[in-house]
Amino acid sequence: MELNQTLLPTDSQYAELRKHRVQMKRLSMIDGNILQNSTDETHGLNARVFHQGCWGCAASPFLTATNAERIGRIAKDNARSLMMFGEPKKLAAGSVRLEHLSERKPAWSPAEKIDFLHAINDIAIKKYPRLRSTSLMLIEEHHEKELINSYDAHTKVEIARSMLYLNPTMLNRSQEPIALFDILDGRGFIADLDLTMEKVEQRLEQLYLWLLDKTEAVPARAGKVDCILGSGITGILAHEALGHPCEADLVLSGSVTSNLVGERVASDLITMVDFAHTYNDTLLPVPVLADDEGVEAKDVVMVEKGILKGFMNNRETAEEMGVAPTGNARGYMFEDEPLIRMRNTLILPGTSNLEDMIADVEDGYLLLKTANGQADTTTEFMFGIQLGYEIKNGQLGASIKDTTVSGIAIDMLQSVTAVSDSIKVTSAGYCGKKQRMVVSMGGPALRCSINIGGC
Amino acid sequence: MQEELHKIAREAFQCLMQAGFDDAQVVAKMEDCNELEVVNNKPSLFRTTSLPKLQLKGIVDHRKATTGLPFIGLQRLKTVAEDLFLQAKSTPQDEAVFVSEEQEHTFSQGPKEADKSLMVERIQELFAFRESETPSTNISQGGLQHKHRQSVLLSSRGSHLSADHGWYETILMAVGKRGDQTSSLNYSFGSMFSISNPLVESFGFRALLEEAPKQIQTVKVPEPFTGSVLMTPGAALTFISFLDKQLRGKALLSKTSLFMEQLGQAVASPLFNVFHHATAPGHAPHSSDGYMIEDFPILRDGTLLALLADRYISRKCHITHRPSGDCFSVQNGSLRKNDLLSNIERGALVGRLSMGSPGANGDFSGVIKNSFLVEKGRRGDALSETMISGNVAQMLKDIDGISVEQIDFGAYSTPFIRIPNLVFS
Repeated sequence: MELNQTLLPTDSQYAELRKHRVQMKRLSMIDGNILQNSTDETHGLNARVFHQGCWGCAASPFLTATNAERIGRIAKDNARSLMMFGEPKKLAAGSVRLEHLSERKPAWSPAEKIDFLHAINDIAIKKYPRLRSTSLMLIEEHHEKELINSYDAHTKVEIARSMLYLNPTMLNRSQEPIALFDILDGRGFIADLDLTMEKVEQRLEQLYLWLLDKTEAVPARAGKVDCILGSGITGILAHEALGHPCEADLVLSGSVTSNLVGERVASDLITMVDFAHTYNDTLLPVPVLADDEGVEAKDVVMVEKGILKGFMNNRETAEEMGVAPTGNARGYMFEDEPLIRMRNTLILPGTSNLEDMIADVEDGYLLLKTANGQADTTTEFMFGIQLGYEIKNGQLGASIKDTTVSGIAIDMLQSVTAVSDSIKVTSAGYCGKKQRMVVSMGGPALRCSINIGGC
Repeated sequence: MQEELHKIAREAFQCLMQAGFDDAQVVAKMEDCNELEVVNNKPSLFRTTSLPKLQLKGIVDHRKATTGLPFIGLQRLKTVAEDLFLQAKSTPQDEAVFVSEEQEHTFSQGPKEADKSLMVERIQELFAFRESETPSTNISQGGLQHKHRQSVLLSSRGSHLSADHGWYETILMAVGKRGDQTSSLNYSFGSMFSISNPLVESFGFRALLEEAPKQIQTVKVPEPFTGSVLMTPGAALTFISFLDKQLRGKALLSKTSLFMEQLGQAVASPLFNVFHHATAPGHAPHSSDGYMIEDFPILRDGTLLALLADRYISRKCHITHRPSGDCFSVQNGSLRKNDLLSNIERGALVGRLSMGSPGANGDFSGVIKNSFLVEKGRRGDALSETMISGNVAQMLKDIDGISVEQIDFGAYSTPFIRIPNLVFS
């Protein structure tokens, strides 16, 4: 079914129609047992109408012109039902026509994926008998979208990402389970990741060594500490600590960042950007060339050398703030309305060497792995730490038990005194904000002062 | 729609059997939703969606494959079934794979149609309350939804389950705001069969709106100390989440559950009682793998009475099969929450716990949000940048007080719970 302008509802200030297909393939294995081996597909149409300051939306899975017109009518009626609350409002202009579809390598068959996971499981059993359990997962996720709107946009875009998830578990000296995970992930399908058994074995070996260290882990010392945040953690810091408070809908709802444009919010070593699709001439894991409002996606410099510069916007918030929309509006499934979402959120690398950064810490921690995090309108953030080490007199010491770090982002980022010269980008996570969303995040290692939980 | 779902399920089932499967299971479902969303103190979106889903499972020679897809025509369904058969043939054998057996039940509950004008009225009422009673609180996000879900399950081993139920869900996220200053975001949520009562009287919404401005000015704890927490019903959901993960699925299969070998043993304080409920708004009494579920106790007087092993886990791990859903309650106690508070020498009243998942052994540390310092039994200043650390499994054992007061969130119900011996920093 091709979209065309005749399918759009009329007599509204703004209307859009999005066709959206999502395919998700999941293969999970625990100790050689296949727990899940499924392919799930959804597809449908989403119609959205803006009228007198209110939005109406309707979605349905049937890809026909008749259905497009039907949901367009429902969306219009829904917008009108809220008119008593709304007031005349404009939406920011600007539209784009483009198509961005990627070439892929031939896909792995289900049998190849199963054999691959079995091979990893066999290695885990043979080489690492101390492991209590090994969980593995292969995930492929593919979004295809086509959009038209009454501002004459017409876009066809896609995003695909995949990952191999390694999660071994061991027992510590008290016979309690301790676990770690690592993810090999990237843009495209599994075949595009260039996964080799050699690469996987290296990661498994490293996880095993870390787990052995964790069997002797000590509690962290609670309080404000000098830390090196590894590059695997900086991404989530960027996303949670300052990324969310720079989403314009949260800014307008009360985030403290609303009055800080032009003010210092970080050390001058920190520059943070939400990239639309490309960094250093390389296509990033979640390339967004146009968003789900038909706006050409632009990079958003949120922080430049420590100064807060701007926010991520959709058409509505851009108009309210008097700026151009940035192409950050995305919906996760066909039934979801577009919300302001991050895309590829990075803190840019600096010039310091990581070994030198560690050597400069007298008494603190090197934090290497995190599982998840949360943000707040006050810019207070937290994220869980799954792997970290003591640093004493510039030397790495004992592993620390699972803990949490937190702080006020603005205070913590102003405490950054060194930024390493290389960057790690990961696309394995989901952002949760009413709907989940595929995002990527990354950064270099940072030296900073941060609150850590412990004894 | 039920007849249509039966037809779709029968057609899909026949396609699977004709493709060559020994056993097959099909679930056909449709979910209609009407949602009124609010952003920044006003309604911003009204959304109407219809989501059909067909879930196919086929087993041949103890080899299983599954797929989920929207409703498609019969010809495409035949092709999908044939592809699924080939996929199953390339999957290793597993004696534990199964389809639902001999389950026969029809379930109907709740309002099947959204009362859209009443939904708009309830939201108007909520905003009127905010404006007149709590003008220093911003409703940053929220929503009121009506959902209607219908489903049919058929299996080759004689199962036929059908469900047709409707309910409402709501969520409220709010901050206190005064000039440039803002409090931490707080939220509450719930599900219900009726919206005949004002929303502000449900799920702790009134307290959430009234308390938010009191959390704008905050203090930090001056130095680390060991003390007690009184967890509000919202914060106490942490325990349900922890138990849910420990008692089922991956934790059992990988033998990393802390409780796997502890059936019949004391794993929590004798004050702590947890129950599983078969139904609640939004929940039919059918497990996701196609079995009838019942009400039963999980913990009684702190003793573990049940592991939540689904059919696959029960066959794989030789544990009693205990079909379950997602509805739990913590039984309330006998003390008033103010009495629980008055016996805290030093600690905090915790509105929300922001933390990563506890470690596999239960170790955790997290930021306490929307919380207040408690000293010598009196509630003091709101707290920020304050963490607590401990072990969730140990916390269950250390519980020393449970309130009479509780909040029924629909699928969950929790009281105030007091726990000593946590490290604050």
